[in-house]
Amino acid sequence: MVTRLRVRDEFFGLALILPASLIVGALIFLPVAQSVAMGFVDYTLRRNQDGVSWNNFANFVYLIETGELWNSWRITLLFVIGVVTALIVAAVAMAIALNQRIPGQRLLRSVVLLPWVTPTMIAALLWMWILQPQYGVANFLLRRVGMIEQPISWLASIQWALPSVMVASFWRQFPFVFIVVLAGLQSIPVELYESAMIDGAGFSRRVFSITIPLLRNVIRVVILMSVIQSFRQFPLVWTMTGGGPIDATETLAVLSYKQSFVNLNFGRGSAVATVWLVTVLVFSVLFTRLVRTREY
Amino acid sequence: MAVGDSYRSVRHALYYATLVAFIALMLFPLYWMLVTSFKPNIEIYRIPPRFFPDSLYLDHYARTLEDGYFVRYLWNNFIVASITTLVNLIAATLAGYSISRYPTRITAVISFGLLSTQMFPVVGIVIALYTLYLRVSMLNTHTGLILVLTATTIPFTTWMLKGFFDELPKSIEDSAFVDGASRLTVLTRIALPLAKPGLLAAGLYSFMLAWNDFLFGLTLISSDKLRTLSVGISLRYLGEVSYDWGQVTTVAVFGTVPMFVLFFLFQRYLVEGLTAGAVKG
Repeated sequence: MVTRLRVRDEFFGLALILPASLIVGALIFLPVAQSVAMGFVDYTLRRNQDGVSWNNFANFVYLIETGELWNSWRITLLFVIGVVTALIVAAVAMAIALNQRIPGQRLLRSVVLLPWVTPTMIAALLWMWILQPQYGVANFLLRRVGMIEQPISWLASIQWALPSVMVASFWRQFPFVFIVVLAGLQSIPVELYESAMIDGAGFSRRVFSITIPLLRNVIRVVILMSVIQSFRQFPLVWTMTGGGPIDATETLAVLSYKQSFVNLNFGRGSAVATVWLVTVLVFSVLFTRLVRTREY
Repeated sequence: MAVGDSYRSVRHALYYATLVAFIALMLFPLYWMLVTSFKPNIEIYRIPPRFFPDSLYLDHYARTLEDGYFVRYLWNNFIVASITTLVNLIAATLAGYSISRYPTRITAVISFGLLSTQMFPVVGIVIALYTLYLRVSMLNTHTGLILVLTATTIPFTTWMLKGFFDELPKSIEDSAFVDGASRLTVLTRIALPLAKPGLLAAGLYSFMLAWNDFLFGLTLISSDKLRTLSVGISLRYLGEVSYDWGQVTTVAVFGTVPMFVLFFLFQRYLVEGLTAGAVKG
């Protein structure tokens, strides 16, 4: 009787999870597997696709020999590391600041979240307008305060294009990291701070001995999430620079898109996507192994 | 004593100054979008720029609403995001409930699989989907777009909803079982009504994600009539050389304001739903 009930339970549970599994399996897992396979064959949209065959890593060899793969890999890492570092530092600092009793705290908190609900493509437009060389407000303000002498073509400059895109990406991603860190902060019991204050611990002592260690698990999750998010950041880069100037912002996502939907070479595009997949997987495994959760 | 006080007030002032500067940085782009959209072109390209406009100029708005394209992009986006949300909620609710209440080894594998989709390269997915849709004639249809957007949002909403079901006291459901209710009745009559805030949060989240889509709409839709918001903006209002910034900021306002309205109406649910998973996980 009990086992029959349990079998029915299992059956019911599986029936419930079936629709989601089918949709995700057919439209995410299958395509990902297929694109990994496509990385190893000649596959262009221009040619008749009967009989695609193994091409001895030709896609990878091409991408390595032209230097494009290495360039994109390097730029992606720069982008991800820069954005995520800035995100974590700023989010922890701001969460600590806005967790104090200050006037208008609740309004401030919700207003800080607005960039998060702004569509990514529109975030790209807003920053393009701010960074516009002749009439953009960034050049105007920076010249006014004397930080630059000549107007800079931010998005057309090899030196500045990547940092500019990173600023926009930071702006769009910050609120999410911030609310998660803030929620983690609020789950720390107040008594800990109170007893630390009674023992005479100052503000910075409390931050570094209580807040940061107890936020460890939250920060760990948030790093992983924002690294993965940053790897996927296609709309922003594509809209703001299209990967240029001269490949200076050509992340793996942009290179993969360009190879497949501009050059119509799906094999090479898939090869790039495969490198991207392996990079993220290796990072995630290493990160979760090296930085473990801790119980308190 | 006096020295200590002034030191403290300097520190306070610095603290507030940094706080204000940072918040200004976060909000300025949105403010600037709004201000620019209400300026005539001659004002937009004025140096020095006017930070507080003295009048509201509505021509960009009238022009955008009347051009015959933009309203359609907005409508298409609304339809695609709404149906995506609906399908997503049905599938994700059932899946989240299953993982929470009927855990087996298979559901454990599936839920891990759902989480791991976040790591997959989106462009790789789109490349393979393109060839798949080409074969089954689903390219350039809203159905195809809705399906893939549903698939990409299900993993996150399933986890959100699983978190909500975990929070619900199981004892209520157990007593219903004792009274002889079937599993399906317990799900639809007891668990679902209790999980309403979670459903709301998950629904909003998937709506926002679908509204935000760019890559899938860009690659899988080719006719202008079916185009969604972000792609429509990018292909119609961003020229090769110079942009009409008055109109660009106006379409940006139209694309953003619906999200702001939803956010301010429901932010409590949204924030709770989002943070629940991440903080515990």
